[in-house]
Amino acid sequence: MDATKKPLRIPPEFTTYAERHGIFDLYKRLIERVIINKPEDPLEFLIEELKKDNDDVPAILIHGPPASGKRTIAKLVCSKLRSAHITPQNILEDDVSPTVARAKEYLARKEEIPTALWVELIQNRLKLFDCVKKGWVLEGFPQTREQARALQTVGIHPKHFVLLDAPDTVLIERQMGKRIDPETENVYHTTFDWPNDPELVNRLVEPDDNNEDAMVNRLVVYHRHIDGILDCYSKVTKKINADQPKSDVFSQAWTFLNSQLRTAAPHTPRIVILGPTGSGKKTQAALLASKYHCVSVSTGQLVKEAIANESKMGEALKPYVERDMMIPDNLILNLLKDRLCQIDCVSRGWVLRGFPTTREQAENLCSAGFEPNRTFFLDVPNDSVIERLVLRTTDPITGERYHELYNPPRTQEIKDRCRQHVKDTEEEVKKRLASYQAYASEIADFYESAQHVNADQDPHTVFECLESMLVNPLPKRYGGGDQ
Amino acid sequence: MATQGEEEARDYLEKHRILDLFNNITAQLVFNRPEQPKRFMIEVIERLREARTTQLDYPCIFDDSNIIAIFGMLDPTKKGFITLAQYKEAMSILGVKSYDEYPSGAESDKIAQDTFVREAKHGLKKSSSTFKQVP
Repeated sequence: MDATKKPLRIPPEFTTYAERHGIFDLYKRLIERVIINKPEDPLEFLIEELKKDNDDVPAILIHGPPASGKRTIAKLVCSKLRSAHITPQNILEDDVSPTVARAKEYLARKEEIPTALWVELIQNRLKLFDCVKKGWVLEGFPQTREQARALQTVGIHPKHFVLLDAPDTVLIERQMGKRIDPETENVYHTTFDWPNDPELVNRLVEPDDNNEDAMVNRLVVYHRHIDGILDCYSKVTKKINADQPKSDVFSQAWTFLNSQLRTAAPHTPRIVILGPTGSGKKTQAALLASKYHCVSVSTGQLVKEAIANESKMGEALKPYVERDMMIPDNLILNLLKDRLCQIDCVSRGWVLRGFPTTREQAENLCSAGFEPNRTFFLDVPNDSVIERLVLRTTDPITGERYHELYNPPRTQEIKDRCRQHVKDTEEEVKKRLASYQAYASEIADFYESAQHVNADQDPHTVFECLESMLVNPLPKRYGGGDQ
Repeated sequence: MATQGEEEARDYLEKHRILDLFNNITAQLVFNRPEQPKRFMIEVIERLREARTTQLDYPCIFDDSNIIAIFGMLDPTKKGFITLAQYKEAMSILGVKSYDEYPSGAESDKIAQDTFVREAKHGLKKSSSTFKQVP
């Protein structure tokens, strides 16, 4: 059957709606929780889950070898996110519950706490109000693959796993200089991170068992288990080199924590590509359309089609085009609406270029129900636009296009017969650039989530850049504040 | 081959009709498109929970007037009857899966409005009561 005539089962607005509210992910999470917990009364359970309203809270694991700076980074992340900071130590200290008492019995006997008990401890801790509402940062746990698997079985899975990594020699040296403030549990270093406050300096103590042999043993244990743990979290892991200044490590971790996981939610691309003339909108739109099977829509093209079809709309547009006048917004919008409403655009998505050119058009497009889910600005300096366009020539006999610098005609004969397009003169290009620049900033204001791409590169490099922004979910901002 | 955990999960989902429940919630969402889907979902589930205890007033996007309206569309000349084929088609439009395939009047290919409304209501009730069925 013709794709444009297939009947629609679900109203097209629902896709936009479901995407905006993340319905798919919500369902996935709810069903996941129900399956893991298998409650006797699922209705009650679902109501409870929905009321928690905590899908966006962070769930972070920070791991790394001893002395890699887990504590410092975890503290920074927590203070920024206002989440609960959980370490195996503070779980054992904070509580007075019977589970902790049981765990302490093991410690008193100098035995390892069994995995099941650990999981219970962590589960209990994560049920507390602060973790539910503000999320959690779990540091230095799981220590073995067994523990990681046990956590997964009960449904505790981080959204982000930060692995701090540094060469062993660096770590050993760091450990030797490590000093701990017993009151706040902050970690300092004798050479790299020495506090200014003299009172604090007096307070600092050296951690127990601080000798090289003990450290080497701990590293050996760490290396024995880390690969198994990483295996469990391969999809959410980011490895960060910890042998850098604290702020650098943190800023890398922060960028990672702001990224969102890819979801399995159905995604129809609705893209708007904006940019000055000659920035490669058409090339990129064509590449995107062919790779992601969406429909490339251009207002210029639509106008020409309408006129060629001699439709009613074409008749209305003709006088404007013939006199080289601006076509009124409402005509263009209607034309566009007709096209974007068609089933191929609705089901496969679209790439729009050449529109909107003003903020008003952008607003109208949005209120007509066509909200793009990605907006790209192709940024090119004016000089390179002029260079790209003014030196462009076409061979009237073969139709081949040349560029005097990048793709010059091979023979003098061809060169002589090449002609320049009337719209490619420097004045014309400058005029078009000016009209774009006049409205660019107000459109950028309107599309807040727009992504800027440096388009002054090879077309395929630009395309890769666009692809990565299209395929990955847009980064979200925890707590609103920028770094 | 399904693992034990998978099997268990499937049994559980079937027993409590979780997937039907989500289908119904989706229908409600598509129909109403509320501004706050979560609050709306809570309301729907709460209504369902109440309906479970009272056995009445199941959350469903069709009410009696819709059922009668469908009958009216199928019977524009007000004969008071529809054919068996129309009856079946109407049930599939309503999304009712289990209904009496041969209701009274099926042999003469004339199904009265009362029969239709009764069957449709019964079927809708069944498809909206998405929780563990007490035998």
